[in-house]
Amino acid sequence: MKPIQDPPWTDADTADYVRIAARLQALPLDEPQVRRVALHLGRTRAMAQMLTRFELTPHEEITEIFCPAPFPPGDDAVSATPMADTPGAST
Amino acid sequence: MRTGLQTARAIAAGDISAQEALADCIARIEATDDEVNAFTDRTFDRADREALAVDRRRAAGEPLPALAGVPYAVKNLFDVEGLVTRAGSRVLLGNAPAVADAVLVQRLQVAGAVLVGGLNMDEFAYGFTTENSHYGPCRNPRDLTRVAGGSSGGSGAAVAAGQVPITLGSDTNGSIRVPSSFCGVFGLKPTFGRLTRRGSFPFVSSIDHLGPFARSAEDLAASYDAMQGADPLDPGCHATRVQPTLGSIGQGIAGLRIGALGGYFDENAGPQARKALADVAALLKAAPNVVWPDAAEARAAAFITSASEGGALHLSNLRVRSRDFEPLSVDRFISGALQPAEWYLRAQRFRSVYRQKVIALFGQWDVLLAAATPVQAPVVGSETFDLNGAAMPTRPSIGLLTQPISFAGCPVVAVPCWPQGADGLPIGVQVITAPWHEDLALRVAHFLETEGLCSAPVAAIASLVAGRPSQDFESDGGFSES
Repeated sequence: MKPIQDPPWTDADTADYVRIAARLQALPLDEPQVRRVALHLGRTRAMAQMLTRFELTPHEEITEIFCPAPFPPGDDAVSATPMADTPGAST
Repeated sequence: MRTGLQTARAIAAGDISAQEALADCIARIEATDDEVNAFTDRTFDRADREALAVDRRRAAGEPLPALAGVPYAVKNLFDVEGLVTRAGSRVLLGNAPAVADAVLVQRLQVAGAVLVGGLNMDEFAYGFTTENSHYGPCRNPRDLTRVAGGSSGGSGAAVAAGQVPITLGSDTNGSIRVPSSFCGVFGLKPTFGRLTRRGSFPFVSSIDHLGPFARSAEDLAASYDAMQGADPLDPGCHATRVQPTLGSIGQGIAGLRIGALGGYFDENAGPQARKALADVAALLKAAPNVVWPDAAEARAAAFITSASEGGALHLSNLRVRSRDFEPLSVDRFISGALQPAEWYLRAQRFRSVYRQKVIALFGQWDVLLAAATPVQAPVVGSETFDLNGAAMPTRPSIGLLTQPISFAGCPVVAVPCWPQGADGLPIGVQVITAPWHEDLALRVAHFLETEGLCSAPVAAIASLVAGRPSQDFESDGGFSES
């Protein structure tokens, strides 16, 4: 697969993006805030480029409500609260 | 100063009453919190009622539940009946008070624990330092000039300061593990989807975890066990039954395949973090330089996911009252709200691939180790910290070592280490296990504690001299006998 070529992009471009996107989202930003937000967005853009270079096939779907691994099968009838006079007792 | 289980056992044995234990706790809070600033809400009236109920049960000869009479407090994003859920913000202050406790608070009440109050945090959990402009910074009991970590700073600090033996916090990208590291206490971030999140204010639904802090691994296990259980009303709660951990916590480490992470986790660790990890690895005889898959990409994906979900969640308020948001994080929220959708979707697709690689890794290892934070707690107000010669922006970078792990949803116990000795600052090590294996992480943490390498002494706030770390002390009995 061909490596992705990042198009030329400048900090001024990021600020322009923030101005327009903020208007689209009805977010009133003054110029100092545009610059601060652009700084953060520029940092995140660098992270996004890292993921853009990570190979994914069309078959990799977005994850569902995330579950790190299937919950192991077992007996559901277990209470977690042992009595205080038997510290450390498992149930 | 007693741990939570020591308190529970003393109450069950009749050595002290729950009301006496509560009085000690309140005295400690009142003596120290002007300096630490861990608490934003005090529920002392409720605590009185709960402690009295425990004492009445004992007087009536009833068996007491596991945490009967144990004082605890919760990060102020947990619903507490009758309190407005602040989530560290000013924006939410106009809301109606919660009509019911968060489910985990309900379960701790059933276990007999006594709720003392709500705790300081980074606004909407978007931070690693609890430098909260609305409520003041939460200060590190080990050195009041330094941050307590975040976003569950109040939760870590309250335990380190000996104000309560157990607290609850949340962890999306490190918000239990970072305060544990900086404050020198134990913290448990369970498997993603283990504990119900119902009744807590969200930050990033895709990654939010809830969990306890304590001064011992046993207290972590006891509180965690009390909070476990299915919750069909929380779509993010995947656990369908309880898997108790306290009973097996003393089983030691024999037979466990333990490795120390290198690569990314070494590159992003400073000297004290590396030393702490080396000390833990040596005691556990861990194999060195295990490679965690795609850690940098996972951190990037966690960052993007958090920014998008967090920004979107608050967009309506950002439009009309961004000036009421925390200045230190409002621009990050806005940036997240403006991110292209493709970044977020790609991060979520990456997560599917990443999950399989992490599961495969744990086919070869039972326990993996990494430092919890790149450096020890920075001074309040620090904009950068030095990481191996590079100046890193403080607030976004403290989670470098925690984010890849929480993005995989693996359970972690953060254990407190003291690489410079008892007079130095603490720093945490992450004890990481496969999903649903909190028991192994707690066993390892307990082993490290009983071997004397990891400990969480109460910080002596009153002895602080400006510019020098607190002298820590440990006492066997209660803070005051009554």
